[in-house]
Amino acid sequence: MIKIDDLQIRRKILDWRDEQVVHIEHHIGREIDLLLREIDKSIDNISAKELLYSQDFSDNIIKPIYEQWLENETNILLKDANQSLQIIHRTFLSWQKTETKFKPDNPQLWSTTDVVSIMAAGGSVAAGIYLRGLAITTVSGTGILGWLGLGATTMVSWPIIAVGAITIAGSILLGGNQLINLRTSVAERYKEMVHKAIREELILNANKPSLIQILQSDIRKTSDKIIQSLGEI
Amino acid sequence: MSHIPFIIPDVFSVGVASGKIIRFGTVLKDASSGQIIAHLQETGLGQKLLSGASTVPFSPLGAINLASSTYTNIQITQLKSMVSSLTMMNFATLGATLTGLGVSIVGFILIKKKLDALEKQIFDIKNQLDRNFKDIFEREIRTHYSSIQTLLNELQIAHTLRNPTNILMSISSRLAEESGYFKGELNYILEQEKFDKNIFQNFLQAMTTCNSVRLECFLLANELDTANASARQSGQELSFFSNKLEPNILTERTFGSNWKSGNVSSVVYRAKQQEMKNFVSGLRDATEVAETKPFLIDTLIKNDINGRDYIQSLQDERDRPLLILWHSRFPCIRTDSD
Repeated sequence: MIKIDDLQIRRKILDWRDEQVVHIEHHIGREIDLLLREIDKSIDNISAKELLYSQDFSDNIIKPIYEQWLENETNILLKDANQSLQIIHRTFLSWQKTETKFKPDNPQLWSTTDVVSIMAAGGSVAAGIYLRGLAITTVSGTGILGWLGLGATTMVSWPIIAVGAITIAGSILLGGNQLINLRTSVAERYKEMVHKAIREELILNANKPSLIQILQSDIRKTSDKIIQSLGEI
Repeated sequence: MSHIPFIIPDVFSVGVASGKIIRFGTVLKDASSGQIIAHLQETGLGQKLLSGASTVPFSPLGAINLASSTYTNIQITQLKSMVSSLTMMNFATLGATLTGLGVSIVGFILIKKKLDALEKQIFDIKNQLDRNFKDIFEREIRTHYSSIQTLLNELQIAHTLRNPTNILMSISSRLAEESGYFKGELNYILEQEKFDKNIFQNFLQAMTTCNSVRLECFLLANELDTANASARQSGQELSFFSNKLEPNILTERTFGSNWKSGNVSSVVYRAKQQEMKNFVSGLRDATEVAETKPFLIDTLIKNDINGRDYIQSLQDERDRPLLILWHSRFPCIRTDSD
Protein backbone atom coordinates (compact mmCIF):
# COMPACT_ATOMS: atom_id res chain seq x y z
CA MET A 1 0.00 0.00 0.00
CA ILE A 2 1.16 3.53 -0.72
CA LYS A 3 2.40 5.37 2.32
CA ILE A 4 0.49 8.56 2.72
CA ASP A 5 3.49 10.21 4.41
CA ASP A 6 5.54 9.57 1.27
CA LEU A 7 2.91 11.34 -0.80
CA GLN A 8 2.96 14.30 1.56
CA ILE A 9 6.73 14.54 1.56
CA ARG A 10 6.84 14.36 -2.21
CA ARG A 11 4.39 17.26 -2.48
CA LYS A 12 6.46 19.31 -0.06
CA ILE A 13 9.66 18.56 -1.96
CA LEU A 14 8.10 19.43 -5.31
CA ASP A 15 6.79 22.71 -3.93
CA TRP A 16 10.22 23.36 -2.40
CA ARG A 17 11.88 22.72 -5.76
CA ASP A 18 9.58 25.09 -7.61
CA GLU A 19 9.85 27.76 -4.97
CA GLN A 20 13.65 27.65 -4.89
CA VAL A 21 13.99 27.60 -8.67
CA VAL A 22 11.88 30.75 -8.92
CA HIS A 23 13.62 32.30 -5.91
CA ILE A 24 17.06 31.83 -7.50
CA GLU A 25 15.90 33.53 -10.68
CA HIS A 26 14.25 36.42 -8.85
CA HIS A 27 17.15 36.89 -6.46
CA ILE A 28 19.86 36.96 -9.12
CA GLY A 29 17.65 39.06 -11.41
CA ARG A 30 17.26 41.61 -8.62
CA GLU A 31 20.75 41.57 -7.13
CA ILE A 32 22.55 41.78 -10.45
CA ASP A 33 21.49 45.42 -10.62
CA LEU A 34 23.44 46.18 -7.44
CA LEU A 35 26.50 44.45 -8.83
CA LEU A 36 26.33 46.36 -12.09
CA ARG A 37 25.86 49.64 -10.26
CA GLU A 38 28.96 49.00 -8.19
CA ILE A 39 30.98 48.09 -11.24
CA ASP A 40 29.68 51.18 -13.03
CA LYS A 41 30.95 53.31 -10.19
CA SER A 42 34.43 51.86 -10.65
CA ILE A 43 34.31 52.44 -14.37
CA ASP A 44 33.17 56.03 -13.81
CA ASN A 45 36.42 56.62 -11.97
CA ILE A 46 38.55 55.00 -14.63
CA SER A 47 41.37 57.15 -15.96
CA ALA A 48 42.17 57.55 -19.62
CA LYS A 49 45.37 55.65 -19.03
CA GLU A 50 43.51 52.75 -17.44
CA LEU A 51 41.29 52.61 -20.48
CA LEU A 52 44.35 51.74 -22.47
CA TYR A 53 44.92 48.77 -20.20
CA SER A 54 41.37 47.61 -19.69
CA GLN A 55 42.45 44.01 -19.18
CA ASP A 56 44.42 45.02 -16.11
CA PHE A 57 41.52 47.14 -14.91
CA SER A 58 39.04 44.28 -15.19
CA ASP A 59 41.44 41.84 -13.51
CA ASN A 60 42.33 44.15 -10.63
CA ILE A 61 39.13 46.11 -10.07
CA ILE A 62 36.06 44.50 -11.65
CA LYS A 63 36.88 40.84 -11.14
CA PRO A 64 37.23 41.08 -7.33
CA ILE A 65 33.91 42.93 -7.09
CA TYR A 66 32.25 40.30 -9.27
CA GLU A 67 33.72 37.36 -7.39
CA GLN A 68 32.81 38.76 -4.00
CA TRP A 69 29.26 39.34 -5.19
CA LEU A 70 29.10 35.84 -6.68
CA GLU A 71 30.25 34.25 -3.44
CA ASN A 72 27.86 36.30 -1.31
CA GLU A 73 24.78 35.69 -3.44
CA THR A 74 25.46 32.00 -3.99
CA ASN A 75 25.94 31.69 -0.27
CA ILE A 76 22.62 33.37 0.47
CA LEU A 77 20.72 31.27 -2.06
CA LEU A 78 22.06 27.94 -0.91
CA LYS A 79 21.49 28.89 2.69
CA ASP A 80 17.87 29.74 1.89
CA ALA A 81 17.40 26.44 0.04
CA ASN A 82 19.04 24.54 2.85
CA GLN A 83 16.93 26.15 5.57
CA SER A 84 13.62 25.49 3.86
CA LEU A 85 14.64 21.90 3.17
CA GLN A 86 15.47 21.44 6.82
CA ILE A 87 11.98 22.62 7.76
CA ILE A 88 10.56 19.80 5.64
CA HIS A 89 13.01 17.39 7.22
CA ARG A 90 11.96 18.46 10.71
CA THR A 91 8.30 17.97 9.80
CA PHE A 92 9.17 14.52 8.60
CA LEU A 93 11.12 13.71 11.73
CA SER A 94 8.10 14.65 13.81
CA TRP A 95 6.07 12.06 11.92
CA GLN A 96 8.79 9.51 12.51
CA LYS A 97 8.09 9.60 16.22
CA THR A 98 5.32 7.12 15.81
CA GLU A 99 6.51 4.99 12.96
CA THR A 100 9.57 4.40 10.82
CA LYS A 101 8.62 6.11 7.61
CA PHE A 102 11.75 6.06 5.53
CA LYS A 103 12.64 2.94 3.69
CA PRO A 104 15.34 1.15 5.62
CA ASP A 105 16.85 -0.20 2.42
CA ASN A 106 17.57 3.30 1.17
CA PRO A 107 18.38 5.40 4.16
CA GLN A 108 21.45 7.20 2.88
CA LEU A 109 19.64 10.28 1.65
CA TRP A 110 18.57 11.17 5.11
CA SER A 111 21.70 10.22 6.92
CA THR A 112 23.48 13.10 8.55
CA THR A 113 26.85 11.41 8.39
CA ASP A 114 27.15 9.53 5.15
CA VAL A 115 27.71 12.50 2.89
CA VAL A 116 30.48 10.85 0.94
CA SER A 117 28.31 8.06 -0.40
CA ILE A 118 25.60 10.38 -1.58
CA MET A 119 28.11 12.65 -3.24
CA ALA A 120 29.80 9.68 -4.85
CA ALA A 121 26.41 8.51 -6.06
CA GLY A 122 25.98 11.75 -7.91
CA GLY A 123 24.01 13.54 -5.26
CA SER A 124 23.76 17.23 -5.69
CA VAL A 125 25.75 19.75 -3.78
CA ALA A 126 22.70 21.22 -2.17
CA ALA A 127 21.81 17.75 -0.92
CA GLY A 128 25.33 17.38 0.38
CA ILE A 129 25.07 20.60 2.30
CA TYR A 130 21.70 19.64 3.62
CA LEU A 131 22.86 16.20 4.60
CA ARG A 132 25.88 17.49 6.38
CA GLY A 133 23.59 19.50 8.58
CA LEU A 134 26.04 22.32 8.14
CA ALA A 135 25.36 25.97 7.96
CA ILE A 136 26.59 26.97 4.55
CA THR A 137 28.79 29.64 6.09
CA THR A 138 31.04 26.99 7.58
CA VAL A 139 32.28 25.97 4.14
CA SER A 140 35.85 27.11 4.07
CA GLY A 141 39.05 26.75 2.07
CA THR A 142 38.36 27.68 -1.51
CA GLY A 143 35.05 29.15 -0.44
CA ILE A 144 31.59 28.16 -1.56
CA LEU A 145 32.34 28.71 -5.25
CA GLY A 146 35.27 26.36 -5.22
CA TRP A 147 33.34 23.86 -3.18
CA LEU A 148 30.46 23.98 -5.62
CA GLY A 149 32.76 23.87 -8.59
CA LEU A 150 31.39 27.20 -9.72
CA GLY A 151 34.71 28.99 -9.90
CA ALA A 152 35.51 27.98 -13.45
CA THR A 153 31.99 27.79 -14.79
CA THR A 154 31.09 31.33 -13.86
CA MET A 155 34.35 32.91 -14.96
CA VAL A 156 33.54 35.93 -17.06
CA SER A 157 35.57 36.59 -20.18
CA TRP A 158 36.12 40.25 -19.41
CA PRO A 159 35.75 42.47 -22.43
CA ILE A 160 38.66 44.51 -23.64
CA ILE A 161 38.19 47.99 -24.99
CA ALA A 162 39.43 48.32 -28.51
CA VAL A 163 39.17 52.03 -29.23
CA GLY A 164 42.60 52.24 -30.63
CA ALA A 165 45.61 53.09 -28.54
CA ILE A 166 46.69 55.83 -30.93
CA THR A 167 43.37 57.61 -30.60
CA ILE A 168 43.55 57.61 -26.82
CA ALA A 169 47.22 58.47 -26.75
CA GLY A 170 46.52 61.35 -29.12
CA SER A 171 43.69 62.55 -26.92
CA ILE A 172 45.90 62.41 -23.84
CA LEU A 173 48.30 64.70 -25.61
CA LEU A 174 45.52 67.04 -26.60
CA GLY A 175 43.99 67.00 -23.12
CA GLY A 176 40.98 69.12 -22.10
CA ASN A 177 37.41 68.49 -23.19
CA GLN A 178 38.36 66.26 -26.04
CA LEU A 179 40.00 63.84 -23.68
CA ILE A 180 37.09 63.98 -21.20
CA ASN A 181 34.54 63.34 -23.93
CA LEU A 182 36.48 60.44 -25.33
CA ARG A 183 37.06 58.92 -21.91
CA THR A 184 33.34 59.22 -21.09
CA SER A 185 32.13 57.67 -24.31
CA VAL A 186 34.63 54.84 -24.13
CA ALA A 187 33.77 54.22 -20.47
CA GLU A 188 30.06 54.04 -21.35
CA ARG A 189 30.82 51.55 -24.10
CA TYR A 190 32.96 49.57 -21.70
CA LYS A 191 30.12 49.50 -19.16
CA GLU A 192 27.76 48.11 -21.77
CA MET A 193 30.25 45.40 -22.68
CA VAL A 194 30.79 44.46 -19.05
CA HIS A 195 27.04 44.41 -18.38
CA LYS A 196 26.47 42.13 -21.33
CA ALA A 197 29.28 39.79 -20.29
CA ILE A 198 28.01 39.55 -16.71
CA ARG A 199 24.39 39.08 -17.70
CA GLU A 200 25.39 36.28 -20.05
CA GLU A 201 27.36 34.61 -17.32
CA LEU A 202 24.72 34.91 -14.63
CA ILE A 203 21.37 34.82 -16.40
CA LEU A 204 21.47 33.43 -19.88
CA ASN A 205 24.34 32.05 -21.88
CA ALA A 206 23.98 30.50 -25.30
CA ASN A 207 27.12 28.39 -24.99
CA LYS A 208 27.14 27.12 -21.43
CA PRO A 209 24.93 27.05 -18.35
CA SER A 210 24.56 30.36 -16.53
CA LEU A 211 24.83 30.74 -12.76
CA ILE A 212 21.02 30.67 -12.48
CA GLN A 213 20.86 27.46 -14.49
CA ILE A 214 23.64 25.81 -12.49
CA LEU A 215 22.00 26.57 -9.17
CA GLN A 216 18.54 25.58 -10.43
CA SER A 217 19.97 22.32 -11.71
CA ASP A 218 21.36 21.59 -8.24
CA ILE A 219 17.96 22.17 -6.70
CA ARG A 220 16.33 19.84 -9.21
CA LYS A 221 18.90 17.12 -8.63
CA THR A 222 18.35 17.35 -4.90
CA SER A 223 14.60 17.15 -5.33
CA ASP A 224 14.90 14.15 -7.67
CA LYS A 225 17.19 12.34 -5.24
CA ILE A 226 14.86 12.81 -2.30
CA ILE A 227 11.79 11.80 -4.28
CA GLN A 228 13.58 8.71 -5.56
CA SER A 229 14.45 7.79 -2.00
CA LEU A 230 10.75 7.74 -1.18
CA GLY A 231 10.47 4.71 -3.43
CA GLU A 232 7.93 4.01 -6.10
CA ILE A 233 4.79 5.87 -5.20
CA MET B 1 -32.26 6.19 4.17
CA SER B 2 -28.57 5.54 3.73
CA HIS B 3 -26.81 2.93 5.79
CA ILE B 4 -23.40 4.35 4.90
CA PRO B 5 -21.85 5.79 8.08
CA PHE B 6 -21.30 9.34 6.88
CA ILE B 7 -20.76 12.31 9.15
CA ILE B 8 -20.59 16.02 8.40
CA PRO B 9 -17.24 17.84 7.94
CA ASP B 10 -17.98 20.33 10.76
CA VAL B 11 -17.17 17.57 13.25
CA PHE B 12 -13.51 18.08 12.35
CA SER B 13 -13.45 21.87 12.18
CA VAL B 14 -11.78 22.36 15.56
CA GLY B 15 -9.25 19.57 14.99
CA VAL B 16 -8.26 20.88 11.56
CA ALA B 17 -8.06 24.49 12.78
CA SER B 18 -5.83 23.52 15.69
CA GLY B 19 -3.57 21.42 13.49
CA LYS B 20 -4.33 18.22 15.38
CA ILE B 21 -5.94 16.85 12.25
CA ILE B 22 -4.23 17.20 8.89
CA ARG B 23 -5.94 16.93 5.54
CA PHE B 24 -3.99 15.47 2.67
CA GLY B 25 -5.92 14.92 -0.56
CA THR B 26 -9.22 13.56 0.71
CA VAL B 27 -7.72 11.89 3.74
CA LEU B 28 -7.96 13.30 7.25
CA LYS B 29 -5.21 12.05 9.53
CA ASP B 30 -4.20 12.48 13.12
CA ALA B 31 -1.22 14.82 13.21
CA SER B 32 0.47 13.15 16.16
CA SER B 33 -0.04 9.49 15.33
CA GLY B 34 -0.15 9.81 11.55
CA GLN B 35 -3.14 7.46 11.47
CA ILE B 36 -5.89 7.98 8.91
CA ILE B 37 -9.09 9.08 10.63
CA ALA B 38 -11.57 9.68 7.86
CA HIS B 39 -12.17 10.39 4.16
CA LEU B 40 -13.67 13.46 2.58
CA GLN B 41 -16.32 12.76 -0.03
CA GLU B 42 -18.36 15.11 -2.17
CA THR B 43 -21.98 14.31 -2.87
CA GLY B 44 -23.87 14.61 -6.13
CA LEU B 45 -25.10 17.97 -4.88
CA GLY B 46 -21.55 19.17 -4.26
CA GLN B 47 -20.40 18.13 -7.70
CA LYS B 48 -23.32 19.91 -9.36
CA LEU B 49 -22.67 23.09 -7.39
CA LEU B 50 -18.98 23.17 -8.22
CA SER B 51 -19.35 22.24 -11.86
CA GLY B 52 -21.67 25.20 -12.23
CA ALA B 53 -19.34 27.48 -10.32
CA SER B 54 -16.26 27.03 -12.41
CA THR B 55 -15.05 25.01 -15.35
CA VAL B 56 -11.46 25.76 -14.53
CA PRO B 57 -10.20 23.57 -11.68
CA PHE B 58 -6.88 25.38 -11.45
CA SER B 59 -8.12 28.65 -10.08
CA PRO B 60 -7.98 29.63 -6.42
CA LEU B 61 -10.94 28.70 -4.24
CA GLY B 62 -11.79 32.38 -3.90
CA ALA B 63 -12.49 32.51 -7.63
CA ILE B 64 -15.89 30.90 -7.15
CA ASN B 65 -18.51 33.48 -7.91
CA LEU B 66 -20.94 33.16 -5.06
CA ALA B 67 -23.08 35.98 -6.38
CA SER B 68 -23.61 34.38 -9.77
CA SER B 69 -27.11 34.83 -11.13
CA THR B 70 -27.11 31.24 -12.38
CA TYR B 71 -27.88 30.03 -8.87
CA THR B 72 -31.08 30.06 -6.89
CA ASN B 73 -30.97 31.40 -3.34
CA ILE B 74 -30.95 27.87 -1.95
CA GLN B 75 -28.07 26.89 -4.23
CA ILE B 76 -26.10 29.96 -3.21
CA THR B 77 -26.52 29.00 0.44
CA GLN B 78 -25.41 25.44 -0.35
CA LEU B 79 -22.46 26.66 -2.40
CA LYS B 80 -21.42 29.00 0.40
CA SER B 81 -21.56 26.10 2.79
CA MET B 82 -19.41 24.02 0.45
CA VAL B 83 -16.84 26.77 -0.05
CA SER B 84 -16.75 27.26 3.71
CA SER B 85 -16.18 23.52 4.26
CA LEU B 86 -13.41 23.45 1.62
CA THR B 87 -11.77 26.48 3.22
CA MET B 88 -12.04 24.87 6.63
CA MET B 89 -10.31 21.80 5.20
CA ASN B 90 -7.46 24.01 3.95
CA PHE B 91 -8.11 23.67 0.24
CA ALA B 92 -6.53 26.61 -1.58
CA THR B 93 -7.46 25.86 -5.18
CA LEU B 94 -10.27 24.19 -7.08
CA GLY B 95 -7.75 21.58 -8.24
CA ALA B 96 -9.48 18.87 -6.25
CA THR B 97 -12.56 19.28 -8.41
CA LEU B 98 -10.59 18.04 -11.41
CA THR B 99 -10.87 14.46 -10.23
CA GLY B 100 -13.70 14.88 -7.74
CA LEU B 101 -13.35 14.78 -3.98
CA GLY B 102 -13.56 11.15 -3.08
CA VAL B 103 -14.95 8.89 -5.73
CA SER B 104 -16.74 10.53 -8.61
CA ILE B 105 -20.51 10.40 -8.38
CA VAL B 106 -21.04 13.13 -10.82
CA GLY B 107 -23.71 11.36 -12.83
CA PHE B 108 -23.30 10.75 -16.51
CA ILE B 109 -25.58 13.55 -17.67
CA LEU B 110 -23.43 16.09 -15.85
CA ILE B 111 -20.27 14.55 -17.28
CA LYS B 112 -21.73 14.80 -20.76
CA LYS B 113 -22.33 18.50 -20.20
CA LYS B 114 -18.78 18.88 -18.96
CA LEU B 115 -17.43 17.13 -22.04
CA ASP B 116 -19.54 19.29 -24.33
CA ALA B 117 -17.99 22.34 -22.70
CA LEU B 118 -14.51 20.91 -23.08
CA GLU B 119 -15.07 20.08 -26.73
CA LYS B 120 -16.39 23.56 -27.43
CA GLN B 121 -13.44 25.07 -25.60
CA ILE B 122 -10.89 23.06 -27.55
CA PHE B 123 -12.39 24.11 -30.88
CA ASP B 124 -12.22 27.71 -29.75
CA ILE B 125 -8.56 27.23 -28.96
CA LYS B 126 -7.82 25.57 -32.29
CA ASN B 127 -8.14 28.88 -34.10
CA GLN B 128 -4.90 29.93 -32.46
CA LEU B 129 -3.05 26.94 -33.82
CA ASP B 130 -1.07 26.37 -36.96
CA ARG B 131 -2.55 24.65 -39.96
CA ASN B 132 -1.11 21.18 -39.32
CA PHE B 133 -2.32 21.05 -35.78
CA LYS B 134 -5.76 22.27 -36.85
CA ASP B 135 -6.04 19.32 -39.22
CA ILE B 136 -5.22 16.91 -36.42
CA PHE B 137 -7.88 18.54 -34.32
CA GLU B 138 -10.51 18.21 -37.01
CA ARG B 139 -9.78 14.59 -37.67
CA GLU B 140 -8.89 13.17 -34.30
CA ILE B 141 -10.14 15.23 -31.41
CA ARG B 142 -13.72 15.29 -32.61
CA THR B 143 -13.63 11.52 -33.04
CA HIS B 144 -12.42 10.98 -29.51
CA TYR B 145 -14.86 13.36 -27.91
CA SER B 146 -17.73 11.80 -29.80
CA SER B 147 -16.53 8.34 -28.82
CA ILE B 148 -16.62 9.32 -25.14
CA GLN B 149 -20.08 10.79 -25.59
CA THR B 150 -21.25 7.51 -27.13
CA LEU B 151 -19.86 5.58 -24.20
CA LEU B 152 -21.68 7.87 -21.79
CA ASN B 153 -24.92 7.27 -23.68
CA GLU B 154 -24.38 3.55 -23.33
CA LEU B 155 -23.77 4.00 -19.64
CA GLN B 156 -27.09 5.73 -19.17
CA ILE B 157 -28.78 2.73 -20.71
CA ALA B 158 -26.66 0.36 -18.65
CA HIS B 159 -28.13 2.01 -15.55
CA THR B 160 -31.51 0.57 -16.43
CA LEU B 161 -30.23 -2.99 -16.79
CA ARG B 162 -30.89 -5.46 -14.03
CA ASN B 163 -27.35 -6.79 -14.29
CA PRO B 164 -25.16 -4.14 -15.87
CA THR B 165 -21.80 -5.56 -14.75
CA ASN B 166 -20.61 -6.81 -18.12
CA ILE B 167 -21.49 -3.68 -20.01
CA LEU B 168 -20.01 -1.49 -17.27
CA MET B 169 -16.75 -3.41 -17.49
CA SER B 170 -16.72 -3.21 -21.27
CA ILE B 171 -17.36 0.53 -21.28
CA SER B 172 -14.70 1.14 -18.66
CA SER B 173 -12.22 -0.68 -20.85
CA ARG B 174 -13.06 1.53 -23.82
CA LEU B 175 -12.82 4.60 -21.61
CA ALA B 176 -9.33 3.46 -20.67
CA GLU B 177 -8.42 3.66 -24.36
CA GLU B 178 -9.82 7.18 -24.59
CA SER B 179 -7.99 8.18 -21.45
CA GLY B 180 -4.83 6.68 -22.94
CA TYR B 181 -5.27 8.75 -26.07
CA PHE B 182 -5.41 12.00 -24.10
CA LYS B 183 -2.52 10.90 -21.95
CA GLY B 184 -0.47 10.36 -25.10
CA GLU B 185 -1.41 13.81 -26.35
CA LEU B 186 -0.44 15.36 -23.03
CA ASN B 187 2.97 13.73 -23.29
CA TYR B 188 3.27 15.00 -26.83
CA ILE B 189 2.48 18.55 -25.71
CA LEU B 190 5.19 18.35 -23.08
CA GLU B 191 7.73 17.34 -25.71
CA GLN B 192 7.03 20.45 -27.78
CA GLU B 193 9.26 23.47 -27.52
CA LYS B 194 6.36 25.77 -26.81
CA PHE B 195 3.83 25.04 -24.08
CA ASP B 196 0.16 25.82 -24.54
CA LYS B 197 -1.51 25.77 -21.15
CA ASN B 198 -5.07 25.92 -22.48
CA ILE B 199 -4.73 22.85 -24.64
CA PHE B 200 -2.85 20.97 -21.94
CA GLN B 201 -5.52 21.84 -19.40
CA ASN B 202 -8.30 20.79 -21.73
CA PHE B 203 -6.73 17.40 -22.49
CA LEU B 204 -5.95 16.89 -18.83
CA GLN B 205 -9.60 17.45 -17.96
CA ALA B 206 -10.66 15.03 -20.70
CA MET B 207 -8.27 12.37 -19.40
CA THR B 208 -9.32 12.74 -15.78
CA THR B 209 -12.99 12.73 -16.76
CA CYS B 210 -12.53 9.38 -18.52
CA ASN B 211 -10.70 8.03 -15.48
CA SER B 212 -13.37 9.28 -13.08
CA VAL B 213 -16.15 7.67 -15.11
CA ARG B 214 -14.15 4.44 -15.27
CA LEU B 215 -13.86 4.42 -11.52
CA GLU B 216 -17.57 5.04 -11.17
CA CYS B 217 -18.23 2.11 -13.52
CA PHE B 218 -16.17 -0.22 -11.34
CA LEU B 219 -17.96 0.96 -8.21
CA LEU B 220 -21.36 0.55 -9.83
CA ALA B 221 -20.32 -2.96 -10.81
CA ASN B 222 -19.14 -3.40 -7.20
CA GLU B 223 -15.72 -4.47 -8.48
CA LEU B 224 -13.94 -2.74 -5.64
CA ASP B 225 -10.52 -4.35 -6.05
CA THR B 226 -10.49 -3.30 -9.69
CA ALA B 227 -11.73 0.14 -8.67
CA ASN B 228 -8.84 0.35 -6.24
CA ALA B 229 -6.30 -0.62 -8.91
CA SER B 230 -7.85 1.82 -11.36
CA ALA B 231 -7.76 4.65 -8.80
CA ARG B 232 -4.10 3.96 -8.10
CA GLN B 233 -3.31 4.01 -11.79
CA SER B 234 -5.12 7.31 -12.28
CA GLY B 235 -3.23 8.76 -9.35
CA GLN B 236 0.08 7.65 -10.83
CA GLU B 237 -0.79 9.18 -14.18
CA LEU B 238 -1.56 12.53 -12.64
CA SER B 239 1.48 12.24 -10.40
CA PHE B 240 3.69 11.87 -13.46
CA PHE B 241 2.50 15.20 -14.84
CA SER B 242 2.49 16.79 -11.41
CA ASN B 243 6.18 15.91 -10.92
CA LYS B 244 7.20 16.87 -14.39
CA LEU B 245 5.53 20.24 -14.64
CA GLU B 246 7.49 23.08 -13.13
CA PRO B 247 6.09 26.63 -13.16
CA ASN B 248 9.41 28.14 -14.14
CA ILE B 249 9.99 25.89 -17.13
CA LEU B 250 6.38 26.29 -18.26
CA THR B 251 6.76 30.06 -18.09
CA GLU B 252 9.90 30.00 -20.22
CA ARG B 253 8.29 27.67 -22.72
CA THR B 254 5.16 29.77 -22.91
CA PHE B 255 7.23 32.75 -23.97
CA GLY B 256 9.36 30.61 -26.27
CA SER B 257 12.04 32.52 -28.12
CA ASN B 258 10.74 35.85 -26.78
CA TRP B 259 12.15 34.92 -23.39
CA LYS B 260 15.65 34.69 -24.81
CA SER B 261 16.09 38.32 -23.89
CA GLY B 262 16.57 36.93 -20.40
CA ASN B 263 14.40 39.56 -18.77
CA VAL B 264 13.33 37.45 -15.84
CA SER B 265 12.38 40.47 -13.77
CA SER B 266 9.81 41.93 -16.14
CA VAL B 267 6.25 42.38 -14.93
CA VAL B 268 4.85 40.32 -17.80
CA TYR B 269 7.25 37.46 -17.10
CA ARG B 270 6.46 37.46 -13.37
CA ALA B 271 2.71 37.53 -14.04
CA LYS B 272 3.01 34.50 -16.30
CA GLN B 273 5.13 32.78 -13.69
CA GLN B 274 2.39 33.31 -11.09
CA GLU B 275 -0.23 31.99 -13.49
CA MET B 276 1.82 28.84 -14.05
CA LYS B 277 2.38 28.49 -10.32
CA ASN B 278 -1.39 28.50 -9.74
CA PHE B 279 -1.85 26.01 -12.53
CA VAL B 280 0.75 23.58 -11.17
CA SER B 281 -0.53 24.03 -7.64
CA GLY B 282 -4.05 23.14 -8.79
CA LEU B 283 -2.73 20.11 -10.61
CA ARG B 284 -0.86 18.96 -7.50
CA ASP B 285 -4.00 19.37 -5.40
CA ALA B 286 -5.83 17.22 -7.94
CA THR B 287 -3.03 14.67 -7.82
CA GLU B 288 -3.23 14.44 -4.04
CA VAL B 289 -6.94 13.86 -4.26
CA ALA B 290 -6.51 11.21 -6.95
CA GLU B 291 -3.75 9.47 -5.02
CA THR B 292 -5.79 9.25 -1.83
CA LYS B 293 -8.83 7.64 -3.50
CA PRO B 294 -7.42 4.12 -3.05
CA PHE B 295 -7.46 4.71 0.73
CA LEU B 296 -11.18 5.48 0.52
CA ILE B 297 -11.93 2.43 -1.63
CA ASP B 298 -9.91 0.34 0.78
CA THR B 299 -12.23 1.55 3.52
CA LEU B 300 -15.27 0.53 1.48
CA ILE B 301 -13.77 -2.93 1.07
CA LYS B 302 -12.90 -3.31 4.75
CA ASN B 303 -16.35 -2.16 5.83
CA ASP B 304 -18.05 -4.34 3.27
CA ILE B 305 -19.83 -1.37 1.70
CA ASN B 306 -21.34 -2.12 -1.69
CA GLY B 307 -19.98 0.23 -4.37
CA ARG B 308 -23.36 0.73 -6.01
CA ASP B 309 -24.99 1.57 -2.67
CA TYR B 310 -22.19 3.99 -1.90
CA ILE B 311 -22.69 5.89 -5.15
CA GLN B 312 -26.46 5.82 -4.80
CA SER B 313 -26.36 7.26 -1.29
CA LEU B 314 -24.15 10.12 -2.45
CA GLN B 315 -26.40 10.84 -5.40
CA ASP B 316 -29.43 10.82 -3.14
CA GLU B 317 -27.95 13.36 -0.72
CA ARG B 318 -30.00 16.55 -1.10
CA ASP B 319 -28.72 18.83 1.68
CA ARG B 320 -24.99 18.45 2.09
CA PRO B 321 -22.40 18.97 -0.61
CA LEU B 322 -19.62 17.32 1.40
CA LEU B 323 -19.65 14.34 3.73
CA ILE B 324 -17.07 12.37 5.63
CA LEU B 325 -16.63 8.63 5.90
CA TRP B 326 -14.83 7.23 8.91
CA HIS B 327 -11.77 5.17 8.17
CA SER B 328 -12.24 1.48 8.91
CA ARG B 329 -10.58 1.38 12.30
CA PHE B 330 -12.72 4.14 13.77
CA PRO B 331 -16.23 3.80 15.20
CA CYS B 332 -19.08 4.66 12.88
CA ILE B 333 -21.27 7.60 13.81
CA ARG B 334 -24.41 8.24 11.85
CA THR B 335 -25.58 11.66 10.78
CA ASP B 336 -29.01 12.98 11.64
CA SER B 337 -30.21 12.21 8.15
CA ASP B 338 -29.35 8.52 8.35
